Amino acid sequence: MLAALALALSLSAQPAASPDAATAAPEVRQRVKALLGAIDRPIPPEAWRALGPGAEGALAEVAASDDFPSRRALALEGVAAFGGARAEALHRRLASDTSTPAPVRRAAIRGLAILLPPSGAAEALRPLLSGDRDPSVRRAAAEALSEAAPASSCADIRAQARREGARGDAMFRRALAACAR
Amino acid sequence: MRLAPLVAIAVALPGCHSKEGASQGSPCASAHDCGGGLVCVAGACAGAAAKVGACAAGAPRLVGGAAIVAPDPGTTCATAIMPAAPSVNVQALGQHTVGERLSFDVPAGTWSVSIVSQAVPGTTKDAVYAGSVVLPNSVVPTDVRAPDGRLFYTDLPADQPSDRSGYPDYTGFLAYYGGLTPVSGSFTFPNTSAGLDVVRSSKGGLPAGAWTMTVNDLAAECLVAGCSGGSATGKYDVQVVTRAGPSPFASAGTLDFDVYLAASDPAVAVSTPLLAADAPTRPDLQRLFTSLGTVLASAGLCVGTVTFHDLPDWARTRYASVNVDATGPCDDLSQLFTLAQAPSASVHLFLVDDLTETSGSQKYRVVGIDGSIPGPSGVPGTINGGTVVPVWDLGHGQCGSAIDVARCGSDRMAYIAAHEAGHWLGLYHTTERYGSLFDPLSDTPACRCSVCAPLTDRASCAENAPRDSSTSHPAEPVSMIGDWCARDGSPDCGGAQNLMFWLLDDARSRGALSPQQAEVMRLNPAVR
Repeated sequence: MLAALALALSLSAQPAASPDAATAAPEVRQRVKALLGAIDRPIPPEAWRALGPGAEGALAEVAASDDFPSRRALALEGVAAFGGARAEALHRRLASDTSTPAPVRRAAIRGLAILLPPSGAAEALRPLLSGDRDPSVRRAAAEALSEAAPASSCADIRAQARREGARGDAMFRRALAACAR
Repeated sequence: MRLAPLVAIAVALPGCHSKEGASQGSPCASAHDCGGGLVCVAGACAGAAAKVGACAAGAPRLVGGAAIVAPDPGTTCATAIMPAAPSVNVQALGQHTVGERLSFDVPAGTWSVSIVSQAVPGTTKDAVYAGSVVLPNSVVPTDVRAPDGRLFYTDLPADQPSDRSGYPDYTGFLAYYGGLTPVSGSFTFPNTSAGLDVVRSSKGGLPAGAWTMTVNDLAAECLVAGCSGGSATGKYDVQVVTRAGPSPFASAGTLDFDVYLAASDPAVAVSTPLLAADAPTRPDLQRLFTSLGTVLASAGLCVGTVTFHDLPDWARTRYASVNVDATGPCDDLSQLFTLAQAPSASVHLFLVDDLTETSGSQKYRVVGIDGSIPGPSGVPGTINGGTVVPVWDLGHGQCGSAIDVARCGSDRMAYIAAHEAGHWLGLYHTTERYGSLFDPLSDTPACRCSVCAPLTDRASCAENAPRDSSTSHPAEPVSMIGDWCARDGSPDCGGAQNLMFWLLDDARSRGALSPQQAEVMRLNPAVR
């Protein structure tokens, strides 16, 4: 039921299909696209923000609909760097949408842990921890919760690790380690 | 690549003057004897490095290989000293403490040398400190000398040459090491323009005879250099791998891959493992390695056999998502690489679901990483001995008959895997992100920030230490993008089409490799 509630909430907060893409100047769009091609160097949030507010729309457009999961996941990091309600809505939608490629969902889950306060992160991510069909999504939710809302979530993470059976400890290793700190 | 090339240290050639007027076919001992843009090949001036021949037609051979067998270490970790693969020429020099002077033999007809150092557990410090900066205690030999006493490499050089824009220029060094590789390191030379010239000019490769070197790590250097955390206790197992055979300057070579599967099947909605038994017949993986082969073939590297290996269930679960922040011997990436147990001098490639890096409180995604530059070819299973690519884009997009990194996800992944293989074989980024650091090769285009960034952005070049005008805090330097680095054929502001540019650019990436890049790759002992 919580999963359904989260899905409904996220769907009700969906952004427009092409979120503010028109506001991105061609030069900004070009720089956004270029940095999304980074291979073995992460792009820090400062680099996205340095492109100016027009970059947010261009990033959101890629995150929502690009052909390549790698680029969508990287774009989500850029969107998260700007923060705000639109970024939150996009992350919520992608995290919960089971038709979205798993790497994009996992990136959205990590982004929610940054965008939301601890209570909000716990509310958004617990349903994914306990109810998502994809173990990689459950793992990502556990790791995000262990960092964003450990006080309210570590008991749930431990319980879910037990429910995962023999592989639970290995699967949630990083989350459990964070909870143990 | 795993580590920024912060420590870039080697020895410059003494100044030489070109001989004017030498013609093709004139005898020479180095390119300086030829002048006029000629190179010296096997003792005679030539217009260009030799053509090395084409790879045989057809896709690489994909096979299912033996599963990796390794017990779950639980919360313990192992950093065993690994032996060399049976197929390589190796001299085991034994275990030695930093500062010890060692001798090794370079037989006639040797084209390159790799010195692989592996820490004896419990003898080394984890890190040293340069002010407030923590550096891994990287291992690399120093004071490497040829039989005639010529210094090929020192990790504590007297000076750092710079180019006409004031950026570091390592092309004149005889050898270069740009990584930070704690516990285990592989140092392969020649890997610079000047070093290549020495070997290309000769008829028999590197000078034959007894070479010497000093066992060394950063902690040992801190006892004499300006850093803290010094120690002379580090003890390392040292193996020297030599590359013989037909001249890599005149012939193409074969490169094999061992591929370890920790990833889920990207074609299935809910995590299902990619399996070695299925991998050779999967169209997405066939496409990936065919495209990888096409990219590398332009450098005279023919991809031979690609062997897939299943990892144990515990390892799949543990390493499906890899965090690459920490480089200690017991951290994820290092321990993953210890599973590269196929006893071959190949490139050891791991396919995973996720690859993340943390900075501050945030995790970032990267689409590829190498344990070290170069990889420890011929000594598999060390803690820096692997390259990792996530399978995010495998099978996505639209693939036609030609390689298309802008539309075909498997081609995009192939390009990234080829880029990481380039690192394994000894190549650095032609231009690093901020346009202030370049590879040690003179025929790769550089894209210097102070020259190639738009005028309005040049104040934000890294060397200007840009600051945020609203907070006065340090600001992110401007990153060099393909559009500013697209003057192909020009010595300045080019390189976006090169395989080793730091970005994959949909419009410009061509997988180009310069003649010197191709030589560095073919000289690596992974190539046969």
